[in-house]
Amino acid sequence: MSFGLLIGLILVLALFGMPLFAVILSLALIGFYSSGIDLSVIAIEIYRLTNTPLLLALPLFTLAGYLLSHGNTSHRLVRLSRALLGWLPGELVVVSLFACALFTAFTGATGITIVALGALLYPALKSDGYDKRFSLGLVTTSGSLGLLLPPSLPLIIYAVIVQQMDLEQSVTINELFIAGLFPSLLMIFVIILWSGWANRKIRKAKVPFDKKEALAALKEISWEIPLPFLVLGGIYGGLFAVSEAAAITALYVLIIQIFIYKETSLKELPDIAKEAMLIVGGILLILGVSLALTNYLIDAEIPAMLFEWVKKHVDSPLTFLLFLNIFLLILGAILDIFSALVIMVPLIVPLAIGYGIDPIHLGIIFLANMQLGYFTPPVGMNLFIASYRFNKPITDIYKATIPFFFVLLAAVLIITYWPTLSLVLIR
Amino acid sequence: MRKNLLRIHNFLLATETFLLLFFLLSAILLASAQILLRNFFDSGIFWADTALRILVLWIGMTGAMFASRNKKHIRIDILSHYLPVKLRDNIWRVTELITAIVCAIVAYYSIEFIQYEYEDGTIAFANVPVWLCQIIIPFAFIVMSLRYFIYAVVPHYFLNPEPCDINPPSEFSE
Repeated sequence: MSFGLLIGLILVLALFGMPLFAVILSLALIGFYSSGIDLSVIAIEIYRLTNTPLLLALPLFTLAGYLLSHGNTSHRLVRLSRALLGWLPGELVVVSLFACALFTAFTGATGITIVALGALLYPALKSDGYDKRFSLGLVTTSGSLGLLLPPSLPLIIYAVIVQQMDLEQSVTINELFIAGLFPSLLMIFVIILWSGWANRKIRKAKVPFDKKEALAALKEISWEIPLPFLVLGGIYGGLFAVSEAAAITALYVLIIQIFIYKETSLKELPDIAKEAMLIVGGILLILGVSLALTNYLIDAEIPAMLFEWVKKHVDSPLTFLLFLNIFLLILGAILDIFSALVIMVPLIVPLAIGYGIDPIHLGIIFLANMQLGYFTPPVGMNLFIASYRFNKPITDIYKATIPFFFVLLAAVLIITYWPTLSLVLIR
Repeated sequence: MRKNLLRIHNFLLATETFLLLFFLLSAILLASAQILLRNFFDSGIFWADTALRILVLWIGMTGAMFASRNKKHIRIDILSHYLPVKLRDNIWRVTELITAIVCAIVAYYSIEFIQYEYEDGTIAFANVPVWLCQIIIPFAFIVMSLRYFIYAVVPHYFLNPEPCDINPPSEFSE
């Protein structure tokens, strides 16, 4: 029973801020020790990180994303979108949503979008006559919008974890990226609808399309234009594997940022690489140690026991999905997305398959819920980042994001209960 | 004495940075070269794919060492905001101490594991033996263990305080 006590103590300390990798490691160590397995198994499990070619995408896309957010890409992106879409009513909302989605997809949803793009979009929204609270809510919400689009790192991590599980049905990263397309568009669409309604009283003077400004903006960003095509085209068109697209993207971004735009000097490169790899290292370490914990859990037949237990209380797939939604929302509010993935996916995937849910659809459900979790009060991470970035009390941010929360919740429910939306292009 | 120690300290930190950058740039160049060779010259470096996968491990473990420099490892931490500062600091001493111990245990057993691999003498790629590829695991855990031990003893000592303007820390709070 003393092991139970120890596990309890570790879990309590986890809630008080013990590093998550150490929490997972202690649980794995206790588990293996109590079942008499040599503890060097932990090193074997961590070394299993080298079995997955896909993981190369993680450091390389992250580096590219950090380089882009260090430079003035966000300015160029906003300038171009405004030049092209300025004639639309409510154009700035549309610009914000697409720019944020693109940026988040590239930078892996670590809160950079709010820091890099928020500072640009928030004043612009206000000066276009949008109300303060609406603008704040829009910018905070958009910070997690591109999670289902390539090259989203959480989606890659989901693929890696599921591939390690030896399921009967294969799950490839390309299928996941295709599945995420319509759900992402749906989320953008519902926010646009809501914005149109919320700001129906604002009459903005029509700005005619300015060809000169559009060309100038296009010229300024011309070196970065190939990037989305490289990644999206490469992946959707099947030209490259994801890890190859990552290598080319990283090399290309390094070259344009250092030698063409000259926004990053060679001297700054180590610091940027350090910042980026610190995130990558944290994620990979947690992934590695949780491979060990998962292996122990499977040995101890915990997922099977969990399934038996859930099966007793939940009989239909629909009820299961409802509970899953609630559970993931809470999880997303207290845990960052990578830890949530690494800890919960090995437990939830077998359950969901037991209820006949497609693992690809499950991945989309999981991330869509997590995306909402980013700004679910009281502890969604983006709420704190926005509060810090815009220097507003956290309660202001809660109030500003609440309507967006409900609008996106509707989208997440559609995504959850209408599998066709995610699966139509692949099944 | 103190000055010299500081110099050694800074040298080690710089070496860590250099290694990280070296692994990262090698991975980018090796992967790009491989794509070029395969698509345009119909050839390739036959050990490149294995080497790349091992480089990811090395980048990851070095990155994890970096995260331990500034206590930037991901934490859940939802309760500590409600504690008085003094109590919180003391709880953190406990969490950092346990982290240090856990890292030490993992380091010890991974050295044991690598000894077996060393006796086996399996080759990972080209002429590089598997044990050499794995050595980063105990190394990183030893470094992390030492760092967390320091935090347990001196909670507010930061090994390398540096401003970070690109990304807010993951354990971000008010």
